[in-house]
Amino acid sequence: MVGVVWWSVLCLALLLRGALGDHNSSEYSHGVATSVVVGTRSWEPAGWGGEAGPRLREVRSAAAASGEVSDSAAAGWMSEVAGDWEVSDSAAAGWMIGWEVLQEQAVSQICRQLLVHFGDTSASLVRCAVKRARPVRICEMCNSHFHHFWDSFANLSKDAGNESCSKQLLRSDRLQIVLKTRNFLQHMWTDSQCDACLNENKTAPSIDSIIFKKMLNESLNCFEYYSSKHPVHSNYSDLCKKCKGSYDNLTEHYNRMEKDNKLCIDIIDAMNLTRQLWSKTYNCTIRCGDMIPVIAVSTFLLFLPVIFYLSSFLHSEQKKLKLIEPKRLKHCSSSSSSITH
Amino acid sequence: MANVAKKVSWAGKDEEPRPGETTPLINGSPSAAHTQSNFFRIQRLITVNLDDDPTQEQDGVSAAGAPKEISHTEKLLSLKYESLDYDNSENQLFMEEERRISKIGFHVLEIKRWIVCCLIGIFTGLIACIIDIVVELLADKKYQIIKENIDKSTESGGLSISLILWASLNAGFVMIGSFLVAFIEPAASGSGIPQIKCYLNGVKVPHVVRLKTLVVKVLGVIFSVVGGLAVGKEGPMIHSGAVIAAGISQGRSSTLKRDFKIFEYFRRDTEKRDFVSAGAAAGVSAAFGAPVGGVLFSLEEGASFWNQMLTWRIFFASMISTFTLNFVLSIYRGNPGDLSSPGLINFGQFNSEAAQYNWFEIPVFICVGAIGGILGAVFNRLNYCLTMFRIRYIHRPCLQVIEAMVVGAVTATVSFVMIYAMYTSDCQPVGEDPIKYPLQLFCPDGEYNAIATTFFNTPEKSVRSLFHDSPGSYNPLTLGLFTLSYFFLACWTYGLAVSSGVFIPSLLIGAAWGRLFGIFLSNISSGSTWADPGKYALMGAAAQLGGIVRMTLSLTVIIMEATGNVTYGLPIMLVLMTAKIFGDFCIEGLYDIHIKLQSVPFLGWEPPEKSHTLTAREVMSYPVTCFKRVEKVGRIVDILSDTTINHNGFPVVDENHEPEYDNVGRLCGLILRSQLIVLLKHKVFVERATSNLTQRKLQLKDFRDAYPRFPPIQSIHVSQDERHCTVDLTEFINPTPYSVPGEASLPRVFRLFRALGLRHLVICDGSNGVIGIVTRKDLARYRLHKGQLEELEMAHT
Repeated sequence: MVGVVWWSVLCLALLLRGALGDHNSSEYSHGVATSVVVGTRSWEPAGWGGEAGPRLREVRSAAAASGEVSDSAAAGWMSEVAGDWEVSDSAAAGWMIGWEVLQEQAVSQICRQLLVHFGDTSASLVRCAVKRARPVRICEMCNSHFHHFWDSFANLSKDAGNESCSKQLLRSDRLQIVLKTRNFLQHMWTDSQCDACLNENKTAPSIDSIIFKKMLNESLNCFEYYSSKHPVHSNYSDLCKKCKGSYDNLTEHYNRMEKDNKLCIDIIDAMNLTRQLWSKTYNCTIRCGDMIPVIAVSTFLLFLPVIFYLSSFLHSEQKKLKLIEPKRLKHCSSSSSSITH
Repeated sequence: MANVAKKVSWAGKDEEPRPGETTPLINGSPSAAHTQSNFFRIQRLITVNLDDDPTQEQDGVSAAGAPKEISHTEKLLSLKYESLDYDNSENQLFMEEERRISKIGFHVLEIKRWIVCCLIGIFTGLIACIIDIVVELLADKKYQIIKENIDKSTESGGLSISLILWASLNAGFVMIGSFLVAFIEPAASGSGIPQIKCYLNGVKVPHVVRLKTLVVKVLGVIFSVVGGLAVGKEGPMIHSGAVIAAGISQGRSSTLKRDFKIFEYFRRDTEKRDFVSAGAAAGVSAAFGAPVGGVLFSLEEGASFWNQMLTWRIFFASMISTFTLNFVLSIYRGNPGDLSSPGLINFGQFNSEAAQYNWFEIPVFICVGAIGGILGAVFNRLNYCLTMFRIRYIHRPCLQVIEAMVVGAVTATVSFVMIYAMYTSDCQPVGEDPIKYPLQLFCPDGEYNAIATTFFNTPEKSVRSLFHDSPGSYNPLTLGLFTLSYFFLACWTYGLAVSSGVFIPSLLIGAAWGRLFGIFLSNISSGSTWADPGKYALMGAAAQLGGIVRMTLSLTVIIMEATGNVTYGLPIMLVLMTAKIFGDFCIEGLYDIHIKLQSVPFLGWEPPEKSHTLTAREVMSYPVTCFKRVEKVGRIVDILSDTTINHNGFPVVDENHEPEYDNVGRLCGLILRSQLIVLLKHKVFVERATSNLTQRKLQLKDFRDAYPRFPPIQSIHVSQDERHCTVDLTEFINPTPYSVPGEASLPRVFRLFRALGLRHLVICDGSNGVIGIVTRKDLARYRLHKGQLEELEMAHT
């Protein structure tokens, strides 16, 4: 008996020791892991500061030069962010000396030029697209920018001489800035469905969209002419009567293009805005309510079931079922069986 | 002892075959002279009351008058339903054939089973494709026409004409579908799940697995879905799969009168029923893209008889079916080989950030389940009352067609009025969510009427858009009105004489109020991300469906597979559990209600509680019509053609033993009506055998060829000469029928019956003398109702 207790205590102690030992070793490995993490972290600020700093400044200067950023809040935000980066720039200045070496190691001279060109084209594309964000006219106005952008990316991913820029630039790090930028802009293109309203070479608007534009102008001119005449829009004013023809033509053409799947975002957006003008601003959509006939017909239809069920309840004879009584042993025998068991 | 003596006295004379002489012997029966003829024709004795309490004696009342006439209630058993012969008749012919089959023969049989399952899968998938494609084409055409008309008349007037057009298009389609069902094949009405459930339980529902039923079912479901009724095409797929299975496994069609001379071994109820369960599973898997759910559906709903190999084969059939559907639809949709969109209904992927759930949402899900259970119970209660009314008053086919048309027209009207009345409140810009038929109506140009999209679409599409449209795309008022109107429409529609499923309407109702609930939650939680309306729409759909049909395991898996998201398993399970608990508290599931209202002798999993007091002797049918081993043809023909008896199994007794006490002779076998009919048809008479030596010996094949539609006795001509011949039944009887002593309790008999799939159970006394026989109806008569064991009445329906 005592032996058993002693044995179990011994086992317990061994188990405990084993557990403690395990714990120690895991802590040790954890410590190693954290030190590695610290190591990588210490590299990161340098990478960020060195690369993104100059680039953002470039974007900012571009924005300032074009003078497009009129919104004061946005400008404030920009300067604030830029200020932040200024600070980190100066902090990172110490790294800049070593940076040159790394740069040569990472990217060759030719590739660097291509990269800069790619940056320029994408920046101008972004500028163009944002400028034409509302009302959307990206397909019409930024078409050439897209072509430049694609060309520069094609150059970049092509092998220049004996050096492979695509490998150096596109697949060398985790972040893959170039690819991400390209994917983002390409996504914008596919989402806008610009292909649908360009001609085969994708260089100029297709004939359909030119016709649409012409009709749109016609309608808008008409709107402008009559709305300046009567600035107050009553229900179904003069404008509606006079411009109905051109608006109907426009709608018809739009519907035809829709059927043929030839709509791009430019046209859809223009049409949406025109429709809103037509039906909300000028109140030109009139609908035949047909209130009384609709109410009459629907009441009649809704009363059908009442009539049907009432008449079938009153006139249809109820089905009567003949009960069949099953053959059973008599009750007395059942009581006898309950006695016997 | 006195009782026993009395028994001896009258049972001893009862062995006389002429029933007329037994009647005066009925003790204490107050049978008046004018009822006597009637009385002995029915050959009945007084019913036993459940309790031994003699104060509940009603027998005097029931026996005194002519057969009582009552209107239909749920407390009836219909005599038109018979049992399946799941238990093989192991007669000498069978034993000989089994002996002849070699080892390789058994392997070949096993391979044939697999081939049949594969074919079941393929054909079920193809049927699903046909339904899907035709519905899509026709519905597209219909909605195009209506949309163009409405667009035109909003500009130039005449909306009432559009309404009439819509209503009459609906009514027209519904009329075709309903006409087919009501006049050609009434067995094809409804979802078919109750019928298949009964079939798998062992009840032979007339016409349920015929080819004609399949054709009517498929056409009917196409027309009712295109007709805009609140129905789905998923439920009927299960029935279709079952019919296909029953047809293919037999290798012939009696409707087409073609026999392909294959799979002859499978021509009996045992094998056929296994294949039918495979077909039902294949149907589920084609409908929802849920092969595992299909297998579990077969298991949950029908499998009283289950084994591992069968499960594996059923799973194979399910997989093949969903694969076939997938493959054919991928070709139809123009990207052949893309197998990633299984099922007729696909709930789509729930992958977004908000579609994930947190631990604190579990109680909310349970609340959703409770709401679903209560709403489901309300649905079932309303449908119960409606079905009762229909059975009593609307039983003529032409009335049924008119009713279906009225429902179709009203469905269109309600949709139209809803769209018309809500025109100002809910206009959404075109192009945010993909809408197939954006109906502008009174919305400004460039916008569409949001409520129109829920009504103006096939229900499957509406379910999907409720699950996946962006959070702001439905207005709460719209959803509320939609839920309310669709709830009543769906409840009204189920039970019409059209082929219709209840799955999709329930999902749609649930998805609508679930989404409403989700919107409410996100409002009170001030727009936090977890309250995604789409997720709550899914939970609501699960809860509503669970509350109506009360399936548990299989439904969880089906929904899980249809969403393709295993992590939803837990919430869906909890939701369905809660829904079932809350629903069962009020009323049974919809399918069970319909089974009861059809007066089917359905045997549940367990014998009714409080039935231990009953013994086999009390529930059995008495006296038994028996045959001797060598029996006169005349007597056989007389008994078989007596329409009031209509028994299907006859104990065969030993003629050498004199009957004693209350038994009718020593049991030496059991013979079925179908076997007797085949014997009579082939004139296997003892006298003929000696005179005509060239006549070949009857084989098991002759019995199979007559299966499953044995000719009625009236079609068999027996001449006056032949009536005096005799038949030797020794070779054909099942020499080892199951029998129990009369003292066995009802639960014991019930379990034996349920587990072995019996059709007849002979009740014997101590010396193996036949005293009675228990059939399915004798057991199904006892039912627990409000804590009391009640006894159902039987009637011809």
